[in-house]
Amino acid sequence: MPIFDQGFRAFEGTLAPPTHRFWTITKAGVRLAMKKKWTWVVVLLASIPFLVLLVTIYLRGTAEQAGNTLDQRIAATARDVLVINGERFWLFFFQFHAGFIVPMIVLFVGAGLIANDRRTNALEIYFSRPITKRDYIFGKLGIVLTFGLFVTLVEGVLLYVFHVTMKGEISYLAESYDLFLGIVACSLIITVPSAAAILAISSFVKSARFAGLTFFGTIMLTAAAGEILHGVTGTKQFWAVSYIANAQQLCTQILLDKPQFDFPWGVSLAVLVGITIVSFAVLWRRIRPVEIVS
Amino acid sequence: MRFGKVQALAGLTLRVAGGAVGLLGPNGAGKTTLIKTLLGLVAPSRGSASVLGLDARRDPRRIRQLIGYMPERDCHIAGMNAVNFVAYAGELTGMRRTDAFSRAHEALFYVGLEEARYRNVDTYSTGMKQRIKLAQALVHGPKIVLLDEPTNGMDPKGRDEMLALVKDIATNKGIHVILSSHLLPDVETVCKHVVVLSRGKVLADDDIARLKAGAGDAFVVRVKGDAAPFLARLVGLGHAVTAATTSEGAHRVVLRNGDGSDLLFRTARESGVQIRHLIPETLSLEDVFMKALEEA
Repeated sequence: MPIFDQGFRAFEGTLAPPTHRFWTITKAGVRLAMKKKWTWVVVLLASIPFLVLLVTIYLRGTAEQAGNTLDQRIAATARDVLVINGERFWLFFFQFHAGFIVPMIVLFVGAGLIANDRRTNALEIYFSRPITKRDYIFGKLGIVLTFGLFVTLVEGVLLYVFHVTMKGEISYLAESYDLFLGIVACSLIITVPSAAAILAISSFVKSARFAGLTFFGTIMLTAAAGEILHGVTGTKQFWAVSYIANAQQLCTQILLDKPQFDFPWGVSLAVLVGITIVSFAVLWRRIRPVEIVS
Repeated sequence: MRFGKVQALAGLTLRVAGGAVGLLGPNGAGKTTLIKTLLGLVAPSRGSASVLGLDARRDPRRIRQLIGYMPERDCHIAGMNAVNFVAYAGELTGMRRTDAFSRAHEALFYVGLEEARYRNVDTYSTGMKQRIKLAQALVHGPKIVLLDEPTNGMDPKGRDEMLALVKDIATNKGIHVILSSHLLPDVETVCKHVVVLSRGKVLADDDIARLKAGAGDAFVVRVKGDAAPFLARLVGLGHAVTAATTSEGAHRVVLRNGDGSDLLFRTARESGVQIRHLIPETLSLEDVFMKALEEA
């Protein structure tokens, strides 16, 4: 007969009311992801455009302020080469993120979030606690959004603030508030649909690798279909089938106030909203506290 | 409780007092469905369920804060070590992070995983996974723990230790235990009270001692002569007879109608055989269980 540790007693502390538990799930998921060295590698790689643009803004600002303190020829060259052409600068930032960086981050962080829980039957652990389906879905979404919005919204806002600081004109803030709103909108447009989509795919399988491959394949397939149809027909309308093209189209519309492809931006909006709604519907149906065996 | 065309629980009325209660039944009896109903994970199509005075339909989250649940299947969070996993379970229930970690260490010590608490749960053996499931069920200091097949897949030593732990929880820690199992000796070891379910209905709900007393008297009997007519006559009278239990051909007979050993001698005389060996035997929970199933 074993001798039990008599130090174990009933917990006498207080428990928080069962609200906002999604935040607990998000925090734990972010912590777990950050323990993996590959997460740091991916985030660092994804931050390369940010770092490059940061240096660009710095050099440009330095060149503008150089006056007589720097060699005039270097300052002139810097002014010519490092053109920060208003919205086009930001368009470069967001098009690169929509086309490559955010899908990569989302795939890396989100592919296993639900698939692994399904593989290890962790849903029983979650739903035997005061957790609702909404808490679970938004908690998992929060994990993907944390990383996705870090490389878009946070880095974008930091670039914007740095840009304003280097300009040294407070009036620029008032002039460019629409640019700030554009940064926020583009970040959400790029990140939210892809985050919802990766979770929906993850909820179907028990393998993170399979979920990631499915997501990557879908992104690549729709992009290839857009390219092929464009090549065959000669019009850019068919880019509407590409997830990446729709995200880029909306960012162009927001930042330059004109579409990038030969179809209305409303179509892109409808496609991305549709992807998000369908993904949430799938999640709502697939995430069940109780498995019903037929 | 109905899932499509399947009636999982039918007209079930049950009041569980407390202490250690066994939930017995064959596979598909409705044990897990009953547990999930108590957890508020499935709502009864008719009627109601309440736990600690809280309505399972209206306050499921509050109920789940007061209950610890050890699922039947292996389950953990991928990539977490044992301390993080158990602490996370506590945080999900509403514990502060510092409290959750402190309690996670205590719970892991209690279930005997102190040496392995920094190991990734993915690498645990089946027995260790059973223990960690118990630890996560206890971490937040529940009033009731629902244990679904807690000894599944464990070796005999591990099984004994797990049952001793469960018994300790019920007797020394002031936590009510509902133990769902199809392993009768497990329930008999831990519980004083038992509920027998079959096809979603309650077949028996009483103290094990009382049920045993009401289940009849058991004897090991060996006869001289052809035992077949003797045994057939006993079965015909509603008593239970099991196959020969010894190499000498002794049979186990359970007399169900309150009849004593006199009946055995009378039946033997009528069947033309002589009783050469008669030993009274203590009834097991299995006898109670089988009787309940037969009566259903």
